Amino acid sequence: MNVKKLKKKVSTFVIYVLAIFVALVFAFPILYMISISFKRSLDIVTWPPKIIFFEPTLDNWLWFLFSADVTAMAPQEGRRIIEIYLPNSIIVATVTTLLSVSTIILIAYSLARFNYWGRKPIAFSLIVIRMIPPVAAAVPIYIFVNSIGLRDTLPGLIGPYSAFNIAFGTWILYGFFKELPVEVEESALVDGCTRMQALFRIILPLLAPGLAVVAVFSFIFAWNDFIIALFLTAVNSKTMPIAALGFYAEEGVFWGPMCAYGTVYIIPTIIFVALVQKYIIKGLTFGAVKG
Amino acid sequence: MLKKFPYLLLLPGFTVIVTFLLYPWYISFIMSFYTNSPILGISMKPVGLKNYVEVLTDPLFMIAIKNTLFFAVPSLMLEFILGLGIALLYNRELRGSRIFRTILLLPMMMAPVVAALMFRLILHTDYGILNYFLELLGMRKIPWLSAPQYSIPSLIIVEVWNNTPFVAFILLAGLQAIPQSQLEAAKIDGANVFQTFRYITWPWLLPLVVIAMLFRTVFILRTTDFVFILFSSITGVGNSALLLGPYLYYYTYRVWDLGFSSAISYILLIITLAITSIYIRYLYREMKF
Repeated sequence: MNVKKLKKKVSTFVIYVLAIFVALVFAFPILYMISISFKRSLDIVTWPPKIIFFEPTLDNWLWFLFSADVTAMAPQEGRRIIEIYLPNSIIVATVTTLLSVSTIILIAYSLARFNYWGRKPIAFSLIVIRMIPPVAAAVPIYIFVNSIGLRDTLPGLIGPYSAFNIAFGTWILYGFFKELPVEVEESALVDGCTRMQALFRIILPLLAPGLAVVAVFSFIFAWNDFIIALFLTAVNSKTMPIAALGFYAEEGVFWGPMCAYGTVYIIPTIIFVALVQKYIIKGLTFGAVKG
Repeated sequence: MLKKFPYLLLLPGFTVIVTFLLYPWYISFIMSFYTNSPILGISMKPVGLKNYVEVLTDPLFMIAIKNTLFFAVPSLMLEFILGLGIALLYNRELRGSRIFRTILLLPMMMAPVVAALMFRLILHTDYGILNYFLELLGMRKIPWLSAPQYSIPSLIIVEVWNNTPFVAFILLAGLQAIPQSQLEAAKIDGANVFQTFRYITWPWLLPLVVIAMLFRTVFILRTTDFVFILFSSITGVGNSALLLGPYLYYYTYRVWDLGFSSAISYILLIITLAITSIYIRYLYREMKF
């Protein structure tokens, strides 16, 4: 009996050690980056690496806010990132999210609640569009956006991002729609609501988790996209991911400022993921499993 | 009016899709049969299939295909094995499982650009932390990012770190959907751990394995950001990290021929759709429209 108990204790211990190890492996690069943003440049390039014990400094963050004379000056100015790239990214991601979510609601509603000619092929075409890798679409989009004079403008990014998001997000929201009983809506119609009233007053509040997931995915797609921005931006419309290319010079890489930049960059992602984490998996599997 | 109503609902969204995706694809299709370089002052000239032939016979294109395969196949296998392991591990009732799961979600939503930045430092030959750990284990320093033979392994490390959580999460959701009664019945019948896995867990999990892995396949073919940031070049050391995505970028800005780039885009599209047609067919069968 005692042996059995001991065996169980040991196996529980091993499982916890493994679980913590896995979490550490996946959290480490993020924590490491944040810690480096507070390191002096000399402490970053030492051997053996100073992982925990180092003298913290705000130089990298000051560079960001003021581009003042600090030890590690990256070739691009930190203030440019804060004053131009960051607002660009926020505008692009926010407008993309609003445009995507509002159109996705209508499409998902149409596909989930009406039966009409062409419904199936239309629903299906969205999956196919969703499969197109942004890389492969970059040149066509570049040619088109250039031809209508939207190259290097924010609308030139918002349009393509929204197009990708609509194809993707419709399926996510559709999965949530399927779980909502039709009766809820029918009783509202019987009570004298118009279809649009029923949609906005009754259905959407019930779909809040689904909407949140779609919004987060739309935002993060626009926030993270590198390849389309690389093709479409030149001077005025550069977004956060493009700034990542600016930390290399002949003298090497400016690790400190780069890690401060990376930390700023991931803050919205962390917040959003924490907010909707309960529903993310359900959204990703199109409602096929409850997450 | 009521008959048109569902179509009207589709209108705003599809306007965006048609304008910014389908119409560009259409122009690009036409263009792929021309040579056209406004930057170099060459006006549009029809050339038939010449662009396609040139891409398919380009030795660099073959290198890109080869590199993409050597990168994608091991990455996908590792993501599956590790993802399944992590899912089984985190499926147990652990204290603090919420925290474990939130941590696991982060890499998955992280911008690939930032993931690559962090690994540029972690994989650094002289002061990277990975080499530090390797040295503690008595191994030699490995020039991860500067020697061509390590380019693909470096890309695999970043890719696996970034995307294993996705596989793990989908499989975890699948594990949690298995009815407890079946697992208990197996226990009463005296099935051991492996038998339970083989006859109960696995059949339940299989559809989700298909979803997760095919998703990953689609996304892995588009890998571009990692290469740019890790190697601060498009091709890596001596083309060792030239994948299909970077190949397209390289030619668009090197050759400056929109017809030629359009042809590459279509070839990429066809490759992706060919691979994902399995997935699309599976979805078409399984999804209840």
